Amino acid sequence: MKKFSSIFFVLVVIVAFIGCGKEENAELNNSSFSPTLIDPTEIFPSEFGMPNLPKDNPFTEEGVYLGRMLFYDPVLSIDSTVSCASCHKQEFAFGDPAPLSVGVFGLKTGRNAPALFNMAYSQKFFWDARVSRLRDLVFEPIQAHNEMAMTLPLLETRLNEIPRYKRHFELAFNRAPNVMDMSLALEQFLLSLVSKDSKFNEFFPGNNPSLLTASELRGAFLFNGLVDFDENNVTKGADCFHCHGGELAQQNNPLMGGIANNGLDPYPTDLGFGKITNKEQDMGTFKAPSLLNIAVTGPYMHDGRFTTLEQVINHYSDSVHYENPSIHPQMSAHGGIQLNLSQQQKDDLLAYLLTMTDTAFLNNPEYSNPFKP
Amino acid sequence: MVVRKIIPFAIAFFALSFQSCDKEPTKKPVDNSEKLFSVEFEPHIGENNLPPLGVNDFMSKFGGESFTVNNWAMLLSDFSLITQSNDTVILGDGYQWVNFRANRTTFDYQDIPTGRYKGIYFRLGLDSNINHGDPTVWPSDHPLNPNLTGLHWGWSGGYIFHAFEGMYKANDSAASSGYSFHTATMEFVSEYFLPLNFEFGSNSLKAVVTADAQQYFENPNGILLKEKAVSHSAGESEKILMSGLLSNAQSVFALKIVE
Ligand code: HEC
Ligand code: HEC
Repeated sequence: MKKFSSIFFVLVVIVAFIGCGKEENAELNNSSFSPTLIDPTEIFPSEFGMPNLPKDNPFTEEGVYLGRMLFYDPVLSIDSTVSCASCHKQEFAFGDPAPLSVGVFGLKTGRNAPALFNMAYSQKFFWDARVSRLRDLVFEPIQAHNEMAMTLPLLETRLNEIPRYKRHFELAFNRAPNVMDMSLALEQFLLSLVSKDSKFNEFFPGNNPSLLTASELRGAFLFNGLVDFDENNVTKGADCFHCHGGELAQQNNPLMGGIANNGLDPYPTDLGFGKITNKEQDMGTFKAPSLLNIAVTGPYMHDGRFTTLEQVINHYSDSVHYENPSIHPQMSAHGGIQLNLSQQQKDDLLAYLLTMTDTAFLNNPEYSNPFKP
Repeated sequence: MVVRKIIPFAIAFFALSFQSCDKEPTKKPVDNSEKLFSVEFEPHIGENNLPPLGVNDFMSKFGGESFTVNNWAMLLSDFSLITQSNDTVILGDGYQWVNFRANRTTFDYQDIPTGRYKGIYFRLGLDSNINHGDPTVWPSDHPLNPNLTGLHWGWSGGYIFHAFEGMYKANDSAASSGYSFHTATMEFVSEYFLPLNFEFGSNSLKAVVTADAQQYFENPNGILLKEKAVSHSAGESEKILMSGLLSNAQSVFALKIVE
């Protein structure tokens, strides 16, 4: 491994210098370089507010399109068999129906592939929140031995051999294909994935109760209500909103429930965010996913342990491990006893979760494979 | 996955590619005329500073219980200095977001008039029109942007003014469980005046506001978490608890020093 590291390091240095020379040459290429800027208000709905976008990578038609090409292109993997879209499939909200995804040579990933949308509002990425910028993130799957197993120098060479990339890098960045611009184009495409048209989004924040069926509406009150037992030990709320609240059905502030332990195990097996911070309190904590499109993003949790939403609801109702030392305070603040939801309550909660599917997003042609006829 | 091992290389890659491409690094001249007034919030639990105390350090509290602080965040409005002649000098636009666990605790302000002051004022809470207004209008780095702070209910509308959460043990041998206090709604807007005379002259100054989490539970109202450990400012028993907590909050904050 050490040897590999130093070879890699040397390669990195070489690439860095090569990249630099290219840049200077390329800039002379085209004096009329003018990609079409996209106004972010065309991408993000006003109900979501404006996200904190990277100022040095504005959306352009050409950049987003190049990112989309790269996302769907298996040439990014060592044996040209696996693309980002192999594990992030649009019909599953860019998640994967397999508990663990399959990369090159049939190797499996260590965790479930999450759905991808509304990431412009996220501050941290990956289940263990180890990365803060999408342009940095994309290098991980590309190089991971069990995902795409590519090397950056080889990838750069390859992209330079493909005429369509020569053209599209030129259009988007006025330069020959290179991995830095590749990461920026992928960042643009990833940030442009917006899911906003579910029934839930039309209803939120409760303006339009007539949109929901009676069961969905009861589910909404459970979802958005605090745990509060009456004299018959029936709770009025199931408190999902603290960590999956708001229009995005996601808490994006890490400290407010955005990274949490939801009591899946008595002791964490996968240390999650704790492995990154090395702090005891973070052991077994994970990024709380958005629940938009949740009906199609199964199996659920970082390891894909639950196949159905019924199982997820049963977990929160009946089998939370309150004894887990790093469980989120919000989970046990009602005294750490199981919610014991009735079957009716479970059905209502499920009905509400099912309103969060955004079929327009799942079928949006702007996000689909550009190589398909 | 072994991908994490790649990060250092990716970073090296980035660093090198930038470094080698940089032309002459342009040095910005340091502007010494920039005079700042800074406010630092300094969190404590009793005698102990909050960092280095971690969220697994149970500290004793009123009634033989012990507690940790996992999350402690506040939305300030009308954040200001009060002059000796009772004028108000608003700091920035008067809004601020403090998050003790995220180390968002120090705030710098320019263009503060020289003069003699008698203290710092802020409210935990917002005016009704702001609280119930459209939360999406605020820029992405503004304290009132919910995507930044997470301090908005979304569903029932309105902001969380003050979030204070952690774990507690009813006694040494008891298992821990959570507590969570979220102050919200116009009924629970609270205001604080922290007195201390100081003069702002030709030099930058820093004011240190101490915040002692222990005071929430004891001064003057003793609060037992085993009786009730959650309040989100709704429901009668929750409201009583929240009122108690907020009157204690008056003894949580103090202006320690300006120098
Ligand atoms: C072999 C399957 C596989 C491939 C190929 C793959 N991914 Fe992933 N992706 C995953 C898995 C698994 C995770 C979760 C990993 C973790 O959290 O540790 C993930 C996580 C992510 C995330 C984080 C989302 C979030 O909200 O935290 C993004 C973004 C992402 N992938 C984008 C990409 C892009 C872009 C590509 C192509 C360059 C790609 N992925 C290729 C499996 C894959
Ligand atoms: C304290 C924060 C918190 C609360 C409260 C909470 N969750 Fe979660 N939820 C999480 C976290 C964290 C995960 C990811 C856990 C993991 O994979 O280890 C998660 C995962 C999920 C998932 C799976 C998402 C996916 O894409 O795999 C569903 C569905 C879900 N929660 C529904 C709910 C429901 C319904 C409620 C209310 C009954 C609820 N959650 C309450 C934090 C929370």
